[in-house]
Amino acid sequence: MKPDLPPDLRDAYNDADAADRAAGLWQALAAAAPDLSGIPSTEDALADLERRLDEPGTASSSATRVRADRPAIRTPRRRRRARWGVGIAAMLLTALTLGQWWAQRAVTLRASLGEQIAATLPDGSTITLSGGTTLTYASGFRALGFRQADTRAVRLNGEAFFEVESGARPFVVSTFNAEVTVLGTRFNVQAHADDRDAATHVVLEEGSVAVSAGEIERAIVLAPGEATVVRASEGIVAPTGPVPVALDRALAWRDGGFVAEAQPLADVLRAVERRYGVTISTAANVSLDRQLTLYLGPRSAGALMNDLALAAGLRVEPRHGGFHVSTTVR
Amino acid sequence: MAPLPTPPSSTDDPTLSALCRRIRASDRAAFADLFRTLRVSLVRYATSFTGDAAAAHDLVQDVFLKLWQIRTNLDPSQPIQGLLFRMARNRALNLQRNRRRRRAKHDSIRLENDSSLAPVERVDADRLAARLRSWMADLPDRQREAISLTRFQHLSHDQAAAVMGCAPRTVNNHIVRGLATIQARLDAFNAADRA
Repeated sequence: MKPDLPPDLRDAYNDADAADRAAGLWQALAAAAPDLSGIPSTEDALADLERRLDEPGTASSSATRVRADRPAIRTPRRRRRARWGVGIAAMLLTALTLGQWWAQRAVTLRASLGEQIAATLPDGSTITLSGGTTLTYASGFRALGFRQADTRAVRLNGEAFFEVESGARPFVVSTFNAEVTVLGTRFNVQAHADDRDAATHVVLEEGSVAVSAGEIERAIVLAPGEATVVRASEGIVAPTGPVPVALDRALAWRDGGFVAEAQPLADVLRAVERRYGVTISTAANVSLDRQLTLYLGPRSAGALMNDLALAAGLRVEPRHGGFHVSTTVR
Repeated sequence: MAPLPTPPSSTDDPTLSALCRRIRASDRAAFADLFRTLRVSLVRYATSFTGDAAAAHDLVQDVFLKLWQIRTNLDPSQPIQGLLFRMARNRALNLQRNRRRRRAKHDSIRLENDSSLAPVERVDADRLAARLRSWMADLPDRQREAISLTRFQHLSHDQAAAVMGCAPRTVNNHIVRGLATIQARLDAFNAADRA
């Protein structure tokens, strides 16, 4: 009997002789499978893995390997002198560490609830933060050793509009589940990790950005007027393909507009809370999952809540420092 | 048509997606089962990039750690096997890149690889396996990867294509080209041996 080739592979050979030779080689290749005799057995490896799962924050095994491979440092013969040396070295190290820390300490910009702030970053890029948003970056975009970091990295929780100065170093916005990489452009990122429908929304106005997420290294590149969504809930985290969006709607918040597109009522109410710094309570029988779509121009919190009530068929009453939402009386 | 040869249990998708569902719900026993099913395949696959099994073992451990960390984001309708192979692949490629960088820095002159040495000893099974292994190592990355996935990991062309991020046809082309190269070296080797 002839040794068997996978069917697709057999089809690739048009003469039977060549196919047979390939089949012979295919068979022989079984012996060339990598030799795994030198590594821990699967059960030992599993035990090791479970131990590491139980102690969070352990270094990866590759990192520990490197450390173990390093040659041991020989103890110095003249201990007394060495001790002086150690003292001085420790002082220098402390000074250096403090300097390092100062040079690249984390800077946090925060727009509190009901507030909207504009800021300029160390590279001249400007940002507008929406209410209830924090943005963190290393002072001066510096890395260890007083050097410039390889990227201009910021971490965003909330919503912000970016006008990025072009530069050689990529500008990277990290959210709870995605990364947006740019070189110089205007774009909006919305990422409220605590929303019911938690997702990172990226909308591009000008230039070009790449959005990636999680383990799947499939970056989506946006053209002006396009948007992508990175969602945490549905399966593995990955950006959706680019879709065209109405920019005036997507960026309306900067001019005081309020837009919700097919969002759960819970998230819409949270957005109102963040925007106006109010507290909204809901009656138990209000369905927080129902989807709501709203396009509203600039208005007061009260006017907005009235419009929302009308659109959604709900009852809104002012309460101290906010509103109470209930279903309409029958 | 002759019935297709049944692939080994590692490609048994219904079982794997059931495991995936249980892992999503933080079931450690299911995690252990998945590890037992796929670990050796993954280490072998990673070895086709790293060249040494110890590094491959390390990175596969990291892959499973990471899998546990992202368990709540798993999608049982997507083949988890493909995800694991891709994760291993990304890590292996990173490792390869870092090593190359380090190597370029420290010693710009590398030893010529010794697989082109003239054959002297009698070809017994072990020697042939060693030759085949070193010829595999000399193949371009994509060809080696395609052969490793289909031959050693018993993935179908479609599954290999999903891991490699290309069309099944392309996988086939990589295999055919890789096999042709190895066949040529084997022929040359046999001829020299006879002479």
